[in-house]
Amino acid sequence: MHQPSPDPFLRLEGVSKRYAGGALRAVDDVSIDIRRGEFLSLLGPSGSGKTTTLMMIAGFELPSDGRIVLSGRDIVGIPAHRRNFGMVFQNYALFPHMTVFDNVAYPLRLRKLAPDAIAETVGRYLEMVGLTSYADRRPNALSGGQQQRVALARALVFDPAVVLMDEPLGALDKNLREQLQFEIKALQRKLGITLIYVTHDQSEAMTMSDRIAVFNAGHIEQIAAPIEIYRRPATRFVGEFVGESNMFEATVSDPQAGVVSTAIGPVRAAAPLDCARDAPVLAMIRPELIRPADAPPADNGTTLTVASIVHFGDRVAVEGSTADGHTVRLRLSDREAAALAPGADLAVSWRPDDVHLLVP
Amino acid sequence: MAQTMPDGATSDEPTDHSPPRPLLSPGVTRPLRPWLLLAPAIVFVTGLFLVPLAGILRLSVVGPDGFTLEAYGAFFTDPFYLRILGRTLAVALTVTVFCILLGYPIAYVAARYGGRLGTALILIVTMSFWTSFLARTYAWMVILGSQGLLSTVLRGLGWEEPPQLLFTGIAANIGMIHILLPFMVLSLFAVMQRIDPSLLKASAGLGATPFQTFRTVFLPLSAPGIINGSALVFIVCLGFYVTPELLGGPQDQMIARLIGSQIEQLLDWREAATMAAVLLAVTLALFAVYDHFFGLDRLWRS
Amino acid sequence: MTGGSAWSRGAPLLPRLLAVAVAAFVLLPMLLVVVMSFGEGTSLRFPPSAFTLDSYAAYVTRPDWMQPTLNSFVIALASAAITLLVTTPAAFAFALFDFPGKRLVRLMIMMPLMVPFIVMALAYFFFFGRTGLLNTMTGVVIAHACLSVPIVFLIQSANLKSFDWTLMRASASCGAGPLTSFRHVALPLLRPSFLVAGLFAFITSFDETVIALFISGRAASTLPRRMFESVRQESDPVVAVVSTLLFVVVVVAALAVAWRQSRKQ
Repeated sequence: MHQPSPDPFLRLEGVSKRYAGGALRAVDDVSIDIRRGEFLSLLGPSGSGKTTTLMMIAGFELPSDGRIVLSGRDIVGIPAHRRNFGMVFQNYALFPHMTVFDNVAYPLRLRKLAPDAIAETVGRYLEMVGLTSYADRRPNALSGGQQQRVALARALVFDPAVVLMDEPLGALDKNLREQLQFEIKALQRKLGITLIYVTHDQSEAMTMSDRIAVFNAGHIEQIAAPIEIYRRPATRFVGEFVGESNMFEATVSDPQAGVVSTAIGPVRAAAPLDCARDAPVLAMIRPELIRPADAPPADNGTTLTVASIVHFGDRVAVEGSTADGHTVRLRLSDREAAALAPGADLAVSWRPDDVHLLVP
Repeated sequence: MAQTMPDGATSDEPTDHSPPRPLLSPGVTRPLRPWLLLAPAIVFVTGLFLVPLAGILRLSVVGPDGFTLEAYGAFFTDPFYLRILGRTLAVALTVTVFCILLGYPIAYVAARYGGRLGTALILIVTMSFWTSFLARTYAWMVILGSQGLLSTVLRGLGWEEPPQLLFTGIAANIGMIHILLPFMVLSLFAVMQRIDPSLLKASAGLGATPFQTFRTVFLPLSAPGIINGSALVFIVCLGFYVTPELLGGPQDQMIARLIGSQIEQLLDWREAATMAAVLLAVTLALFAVYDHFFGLDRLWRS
Repeated sequence: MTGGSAWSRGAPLLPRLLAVAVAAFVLLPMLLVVVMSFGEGTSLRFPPSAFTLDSYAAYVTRPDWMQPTLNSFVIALASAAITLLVTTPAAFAFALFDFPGKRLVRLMIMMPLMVPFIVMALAYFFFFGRTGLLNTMTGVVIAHACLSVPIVFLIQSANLKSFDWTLMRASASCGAGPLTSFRHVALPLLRPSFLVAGLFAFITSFDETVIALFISGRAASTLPRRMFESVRQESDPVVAVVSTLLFVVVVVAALAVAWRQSRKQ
């Protein structure tokens, strides 16, 4: 699961955080290698340990165990203000008594830059986030989106080694969130920033990240590129947390042929299986990969009774049940779903390539 | 927005609204720091408050031959002192009851009906609260004095020899009620303001008359305010010195005045210390009872 | 002050009459003092025989009134400053840390609010008598500073509770150490509420009578002590002037606060 990379820039080695005298494990033996210039998302539900992990990287929490290594140097003992990491908070955390300019200039003044150098740099970054004309305003005179852009400029202006973001778009409404996702991603690419981004929103993680680390109950379930996480989730949790899925419990019936038997009949995967006969596995098929068929094939297909049809505009979510009551979810186009009605029979099939088998 | 809140608003560790700990990056001196910050206050309060207080308590139990509870024995067997202690408690109770009776209508009208009248009522009470209580005591001397407002008015009405009110227990009680009333009103108001109006509407909707609604819904819900206000008024009244001293008569001694006259006349240190200790014990016992049932934090909030 | 709209109908007559009557009982004595301050002659006769500004002139020219006034200002300023310096770090400790004995330390800090003033008057009379601080300004300053500790502590704790501590983390992430963050972020943002806490300490001291009465002596007499003696022993009309001035300050402040609140809504 944890693949060592050739040039780890920032590395977490067996990092743990325990509270209440060790009874509560907020973060349990987390290891991550982060490459220079990488956009890494820490994705997981509430209480999964992602924010605590970020706070340990930032230096606001002390790990109970493990090392955090930046360019070969353990930084656990270095206080937050000497780590040279930029940080963006969910509630913006702009200094209300300073103007936008002074907020962005603050890190540079602490670094004792010359006033004209500060003015020039701050001006450049304010332009980057499109707030040049707001330099003299106070933060509370700005909208939420504008405030977060100021926070972004403040976190980037001093050319930090790593930028950390803690649910930065959590307080914004959907349209603004999508726009800022795009802007953050563009800035990160343009400036070559190493960015660690905490979110509980899987689509946000999918669209922005180079890699995603999926957290659950204090540990990492999988670290991989977004499409890899989507196509080949390492665990049931990842498969169900990221995107929608049909997950069937199965037993291996023919390892060589890649065939397992499930409640909806035999399912054949594209590749041979590396397990024994009768071993328990999970067969996962994404709803959009299950297609209507003229007649159900012998394997990789079944006949469903349509239970519900929900239109989303761009797609139609259909739920059908097999003869013995197992639910199968599909995504169809409007045209494909046109002839369907609840109670109708629907033959479906899927390609062996689209079957993902997980060994629990 | 609502969907993002469950995770968005909280970090992964169990949090309430208390600040994240440690707020400043974790350093080596972490276990030491709170005590460094606390040291000035602890040293100051101990050295310049608790030590003098302990000095007086010590005085009450040290006789010529070392430790003795003689003074307490004398206090609790002398009917003079017991009468004064009893009168002090009775006066405090009287003042508290009058404060409730007078304070409740003001707080009720201000909290329940608001508007300009409510604002004006609370403004008047707040101004009284902040005005020097010596100034207010002086006002009552002018009103109740033999050449004062009340006498003048009564004489004008044809009463040739109106009774002397100043320098009596009644005058002292009126003055204390006037001075402590704002404590009561503000305590009541703070609680009444938080009573959910929809409860009263619900009660009316279920067929209760306005008086039934008041008696069965509003009054019980305002009880914490009555308790807070009464605790404050009663406790302050127990140790009240200035107003009874200026308005009251020599025959209506309360324990605080007795202590005061002991200091002025430099009589018996041990006796004065013993009375102070008894007053302190009664006061702290009341605080302890309050703390046990309601928690002191609630009292401080008002 | 309250959600008037939620209670659309006015109060019934009886409670309304009672409330207005009690409000008059609260207000009229204070207004009477204002009338008295313009009166001539002794301080306790009503109505005064004639109206004049003599007492105001007397107040500002007579050293036996000006000196206590000045003393009270000095004592209140000094004790407020000391209380702020001593108590603010403790409020920070309570806001930032959990430590063993927190309840006990809190109880100790709150003690001065629980001990009757007359008891402390006796205690300080004895204590300062032994340490040579009786009848000195220093003694009064110390006593008043102690009395203000719980008040300032409560106010500061409330202030720190409402402070957004993420700002300190944001400051650290910008590269500021704890002290720099305190100076550039916490202090400027908390300063107004620090001043409010200081004001409460100032008022506590300025208004305190009982302890000052017994330990300030003639040399360090405070204004309340002077007023107390004036109403007890003399019939000096200046006391009406001082009372009026104190009342006017409160009225102006209360109206200013009420006006600001109504403007906010």
